[in-house]
Amino acid sequence: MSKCSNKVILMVLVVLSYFHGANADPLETFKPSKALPHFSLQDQHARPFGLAQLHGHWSLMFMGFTSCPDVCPVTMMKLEAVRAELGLRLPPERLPNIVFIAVDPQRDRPVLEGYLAYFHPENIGITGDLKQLDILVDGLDGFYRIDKPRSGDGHYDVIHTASIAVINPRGELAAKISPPFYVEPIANFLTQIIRQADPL
Amino acid sequence: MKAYFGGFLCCLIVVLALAGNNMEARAESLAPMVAAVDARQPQLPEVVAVRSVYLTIVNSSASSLKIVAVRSPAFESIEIHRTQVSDGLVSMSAVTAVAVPAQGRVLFSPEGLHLMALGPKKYYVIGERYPMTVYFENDQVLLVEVLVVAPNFVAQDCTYCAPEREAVHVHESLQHHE
Repeated sequence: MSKCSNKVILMVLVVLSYFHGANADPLETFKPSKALPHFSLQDQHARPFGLAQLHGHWSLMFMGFTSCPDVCPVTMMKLEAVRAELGLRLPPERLPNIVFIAVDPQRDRPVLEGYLAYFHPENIGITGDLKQLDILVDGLDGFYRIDKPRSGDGHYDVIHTASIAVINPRGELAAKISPPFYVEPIANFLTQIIRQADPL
Repeated sequence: MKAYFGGFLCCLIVVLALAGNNMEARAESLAPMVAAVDARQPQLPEVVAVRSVYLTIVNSSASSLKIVAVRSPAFESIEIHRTQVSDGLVSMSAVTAVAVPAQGRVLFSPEGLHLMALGPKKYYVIGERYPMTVYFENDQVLLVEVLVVAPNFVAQDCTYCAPEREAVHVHESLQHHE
């Protein structure tokens, strides 16, 4: 085989590997968007929060629990950084809400208001009955599992979906962002899909 | 950025001693073989009873070490944990011991190996410091001072995001001991 042929094969492999990598992109758009089921939860101020509260604006939803010392606060701060970056690119009405789905209601409900206020007054935290949480989590193609409390201090872990769900103003799952979370690429991704979407 | 590094290096403590002995006297002879760099605790809301502590342990000695426990008078208990993301799920698991290779280091950082501190005895505000002790196998201890930082300090600082930054810290740490 000639050197020229080898180069062509090499280039094809490089291009194929590029597109293979693109398929594994942590920034995934759903076309068409996926409708979410009706659910009935409460926000951190004990006000009802359901599908209707997702209508009319973009939302970034992620699962977590307030007793999580590492990933949850870090994700919260990264989303704050993303929203700050989006603030330079998008009009205020198109900036997404940040919605923390607290999947450990026993420990989360009493502290959710103070927890959310610490990070940003506009952040939303929702929790409620496990059956209603399950409806929302299933609709987001998510998962969580509350471990059994250990003897002694009663501490327990909660395993949950790591990704961030992007909800469009029609209350549909429009995209998914998987870790690792890098602020700049996420801001670029969201800017693109929000600008391409229909006006509010 | 330099100010940021400098502030964190203020919490650099380098005391290796044998437990139960006169630690200051021992430190003079044994330091600076092991160092804790950039020990920090992002502050969380007071209503939450857990915190994470992040730091780098640098072992400049010719022998490997094993971290077996961490304690602080500021908390009821401190556990070594590892955050894992697998099949799209995030979970934490306890780690019983951590090896620090000779002439090497171990990074405790956001979204990776970290210290989970349970039951804070006081609400430290940002900028305050508290003591923490890292226990190694063979009864060796490392005294560390942890700086309480704003939570957004870790937003751009994760296990896979900042290898350059980590390298700079370690470099400065080693220079400090020369």
